[in-house]
Amino acid sequence: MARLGNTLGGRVLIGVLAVHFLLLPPLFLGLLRIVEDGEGRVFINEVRSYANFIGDELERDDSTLDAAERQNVLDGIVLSGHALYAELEGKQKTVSRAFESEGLVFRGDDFAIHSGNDEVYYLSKPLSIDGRTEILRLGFDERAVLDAAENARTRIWYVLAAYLLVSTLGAVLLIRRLTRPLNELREASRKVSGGAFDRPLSTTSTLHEVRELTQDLEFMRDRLATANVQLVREIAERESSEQTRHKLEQQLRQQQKLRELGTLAGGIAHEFNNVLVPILLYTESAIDELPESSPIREDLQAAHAAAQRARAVVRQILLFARHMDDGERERIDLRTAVGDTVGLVRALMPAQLEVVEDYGSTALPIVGNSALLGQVVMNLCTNARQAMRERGGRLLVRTWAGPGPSGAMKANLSVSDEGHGMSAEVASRIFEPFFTTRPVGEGTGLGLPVVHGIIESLRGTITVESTPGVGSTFTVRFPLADDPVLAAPSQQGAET
Amino acid sequence: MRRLLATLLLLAAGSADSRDLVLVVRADSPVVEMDSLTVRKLFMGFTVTAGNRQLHAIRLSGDAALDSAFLQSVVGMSATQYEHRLLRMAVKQGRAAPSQADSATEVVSVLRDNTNAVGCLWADQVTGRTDLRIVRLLWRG
Repeated sequence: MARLGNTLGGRVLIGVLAVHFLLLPPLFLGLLRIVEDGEGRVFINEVRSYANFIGDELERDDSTLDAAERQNVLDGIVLSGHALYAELEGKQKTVSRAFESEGLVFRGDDFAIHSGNDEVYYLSKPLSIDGRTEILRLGFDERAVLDAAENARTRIWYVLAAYLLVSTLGAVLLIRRLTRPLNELREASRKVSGGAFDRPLSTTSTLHEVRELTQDLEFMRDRLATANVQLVREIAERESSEQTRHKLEQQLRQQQKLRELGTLAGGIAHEFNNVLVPILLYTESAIDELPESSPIREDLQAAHAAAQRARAVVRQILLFARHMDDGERERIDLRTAVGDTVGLVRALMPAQLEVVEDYGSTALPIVGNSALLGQVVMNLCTNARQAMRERGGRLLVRTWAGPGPSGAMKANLSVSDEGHGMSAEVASRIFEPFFTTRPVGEGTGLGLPVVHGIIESLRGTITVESTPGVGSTFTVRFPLADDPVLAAPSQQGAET
Repeated sequence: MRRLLATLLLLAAGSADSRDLVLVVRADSPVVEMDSLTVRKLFMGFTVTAGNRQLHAIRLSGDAALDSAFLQSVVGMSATQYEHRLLRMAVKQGRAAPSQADSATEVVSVLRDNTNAVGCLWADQVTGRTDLRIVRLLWRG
């Protein structure tokens, strides 16, 4: 009941019923009073008029009435049906009553219908007959008037009940007409709140207020939809920006770590190189001075070979740390430098590996060194071969011109394999010196660090994308020969 | 409502002390006697003369009980119909309706001032007065 009272329909219905229950009783009583008054007034006018007529006739009759004639006159009044009771009182009292009204007695004048609750309207009229005053008293049947009033009361009941029923039904129809468009709007609003922002709000109602409400809600929905699109776009941009920032932070940390490692390794390698130079010179000199048959000659040659291998390692460390002589820089076509090295690599690849080359048709001029680039390609292809040696697969080498992460045009090189791939943790450390996942003795852990060092010395960047079990792709980006970045200090590094 | 009140007043009056309604004129009025039809004509606005002088009716409408007895016994109509008839007579025939008085004192004053005036009063309001005369009994309470 409380819920019904809190709805629009419930309140309208309660209001309509309350108004009716307040207004209908006085309306009923008022109508009944009007009918009763009307019926009573007609009745009273008739009986008074009749009494006057009889009185006038009796006064104007000059002949003296004896007792029998008086009785006849009164009997005529009663038998005519106009009155139930007739009495004429002078010196003698003469009374006549209708057959069904025996026992009636005049109890004074009535001045309104149903006075005395005896269903008889009494009136009296003094007459001047033959110089004497006589009183004519008449009683008239009120039942016809009372019956008419009762019938009127019943009819009014029916009419008001029908009116209440019709008005209640009208109120219900009005409520449905009012609430239907509101319910439609509510459903549409719920769908909008559920995420269906592109669903327009509309109504079939012709009510001005409802149409205005719909227009306002539609305007609000449109604004909401626009704001939502903007919000989604801003969130996406913010997420993308956050990812880019996170990636750049990782790149920066990796670059700093590699730079520190390069500085440390370069310093150590330089010192080792200083130590190795006299070892190599003195062992060479000792070997030259010893006779061919000297039993220690073979030992010295072994020591010299070991020192040579140590020097090679030192050179690689210096290459990673850019402390070595990088050689000449010249304007070269990346496609040519890569293609020449891949041609050599192809000959070294086992039969189960397919080598695919795609260099495009546009020249990719960069400032670099063909020998160093060749070493980069060689190292990357060697790693790819190692990754695919168990399962085989395809080695794809591509070059193309395209925008880098900053949007500037770059000369791009990618080396993709279908090998075992690597985890994100491994990928984050592959450019560190001496880091390797190969068994002891199979790798030095200097291949990719050397690649990184060479690329950094050429103002380039290298990134790796790898999925365990699927393969890896190394992407190298160099500034084009005309790129102004070549004139600025090197700040490139590795990306994973 | 007014009629109901009058009825109650009349019944109360009747139970305590019965009052007769009488037709009254000034003591020197030319009216000697008047039958009920002439009385009704007079109070309906018709022209009634006595001694070649036109009579003038006064209705005491301020006394509800008296007016109820007057309507029932003299004019024989309800108040509404009586007033409609007077209005119709005035509009259609140009006849003057009876004067209206709010109190018995006013009726007495008019009767004393005008020898052609005829009014209705309770009998006890006239008893003992030498300047007024009762013409006939109109209603016995």
